[in-house]
Amino acid sequence: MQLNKLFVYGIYGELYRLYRWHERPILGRIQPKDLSDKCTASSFVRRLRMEHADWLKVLREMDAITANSDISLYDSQNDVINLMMRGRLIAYSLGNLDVDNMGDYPIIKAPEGVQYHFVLASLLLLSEPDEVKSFRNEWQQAEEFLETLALTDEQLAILISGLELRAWPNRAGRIESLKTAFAMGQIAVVIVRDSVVVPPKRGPEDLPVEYYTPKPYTLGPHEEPGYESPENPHAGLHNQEALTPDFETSAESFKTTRQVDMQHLSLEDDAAAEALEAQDWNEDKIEEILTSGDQFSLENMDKGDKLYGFVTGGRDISTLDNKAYWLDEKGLADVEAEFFRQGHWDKEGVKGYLALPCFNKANEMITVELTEDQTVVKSTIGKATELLRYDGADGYTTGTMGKIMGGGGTQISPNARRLTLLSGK
Amino acid sequence: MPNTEEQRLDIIENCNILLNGILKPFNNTNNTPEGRMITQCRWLKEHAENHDLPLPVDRGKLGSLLYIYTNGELFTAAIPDKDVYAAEINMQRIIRLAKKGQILMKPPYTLYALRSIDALIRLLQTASRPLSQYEQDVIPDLEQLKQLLDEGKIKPPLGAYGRTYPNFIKVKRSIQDLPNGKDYFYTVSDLIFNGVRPDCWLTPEDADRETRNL
Repeated sequence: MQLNKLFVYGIYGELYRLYRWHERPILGRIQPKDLSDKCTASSFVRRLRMEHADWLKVLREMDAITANSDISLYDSQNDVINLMMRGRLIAYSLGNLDVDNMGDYPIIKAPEGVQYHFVLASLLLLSEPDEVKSFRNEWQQAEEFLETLALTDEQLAILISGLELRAWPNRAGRIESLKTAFAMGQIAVVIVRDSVVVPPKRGPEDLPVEYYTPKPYTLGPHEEPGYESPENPHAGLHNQEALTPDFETSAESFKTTRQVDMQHLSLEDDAAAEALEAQDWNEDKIEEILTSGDQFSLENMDKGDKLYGFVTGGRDISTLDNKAYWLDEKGLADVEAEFFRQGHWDKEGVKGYLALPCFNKANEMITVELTEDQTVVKSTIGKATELLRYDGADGYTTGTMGKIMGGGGTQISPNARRLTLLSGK
Repeated sequence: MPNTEEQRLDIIENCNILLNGILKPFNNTNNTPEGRMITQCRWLKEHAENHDLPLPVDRGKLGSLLYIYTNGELFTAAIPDKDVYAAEINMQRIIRLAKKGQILMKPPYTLYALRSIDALIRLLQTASRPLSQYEQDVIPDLEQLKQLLDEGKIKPPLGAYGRTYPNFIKVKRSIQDLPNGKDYFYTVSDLIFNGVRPDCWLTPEDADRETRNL
């Protein structure tokens, strides 16, 4: 059983697809089921056609087996419910769609060996195309894309008919139908290329910055110094070397989703805030730390204990005094277990798990040591969102799209003035 | 929540200080914290200049600023630390102005800040219950802050209580059972440590009226 291709049926024959949170799709108007409350999650899980052994495989795959999982179907379902409530396991409803439906939708050929496969956005849950264009809420980008296609009347008729859109009598109306379907998130385009040509590297001055990330990556247990396996096997746009993540030029970017009222904090949050105040964080930084996570607790750490930080390689940090987000040994081990496979970091996964903004490339790790015993604040990293696009050097762009980072990792906020750098810059 | 010409001009001024100061040598790329800060400041400045920046600004529009500020992303060898510490004051002011729609503490309001500190001291000295050790110790802290502010030797925001004024951490939580304790404490804390004045102090005349009978 591959969890990233897990389709399950409900008792009434309806189809669902389950994803680990960091592998959740980000396209179209498809939203996962809201299973954040126990009642809904229980009702959903207990109505899926899954045997005890099936759930055990899922739990094992997610490293979430508990002492009770083996006892009964009911107990294993409880563990799954817990994962779904915490957002670690996501479910999408596929209704009555079938992967065979993909072939029913029209393809438009473009020059240079590119084909545009227009599909219902929900079909993207059934297949895993490498390159997709979607323009949800992006009316202007949808219009520009359609303009660049310069569709003939015949192609336009094929698309309108194949996508079952409203067939206006005139060309302008039909274009408007397509644009609306894009912007409403009903349709998307899968790009099929004869071959992907990655432009040769010339030099740092000629290339977007991420093309010239020094290699090998400094993170992770490589088999030998300088080792780098030839291809990154992980899915996700953030793992594609041929694409550069970039933000929309508007100011809208990284945003944590939790909000707190600093004058009316819960007991747990207030205990964390008090500890952070004692560590010399000011109120504005404390508020941001509190909105970045959940389930705050205090933990005693000893002089000599190590903390780890994912940073952008090549940026020489001048002082640690102001770095609020760290991983402890266990937090780092969790990240490694989950996201370092086949000699490569799953950067998409790390970014989602730690809810890192795009300007933190997370391609270098620094290790620091506590210079004295201290009480640190520990929390589970919360969800964050950002708007960004991925650009290829050949002019291809995904367009601006919303990205959800599920969080879920564990972060430590220490007294940063009581740290000393051991490795990294 | 105020939405005033003063705030609009303060946002422009603090963005200009960052853009023409520590951010000046950097390119406006979106892949670095410095580049993102340039984008962030330009966006705020342009909207403020065009009178198109209702306050408070949605948090989603301030994400780069908030993350870069909180995680000290500008502290690299590319900028002297002292310049970044100074810039953090401007960043904090922009956050208070834009994210919270607050108004900044400025020298013309010093007299009224002193009155507020006096009111808090009196509240503690006349409390109907015995004071905790922290509450007793915070009184000389307040006296000291009052003197430093009066002499112009401190300039809000001071930032964290932590190292210099640890008594504030406990008093913030214990004083809330005293009548007006929470209001008076947060007023002083905001004025001195967060560098913002109460929403109702729109002008010195307003501040005078609000503090005359404390």
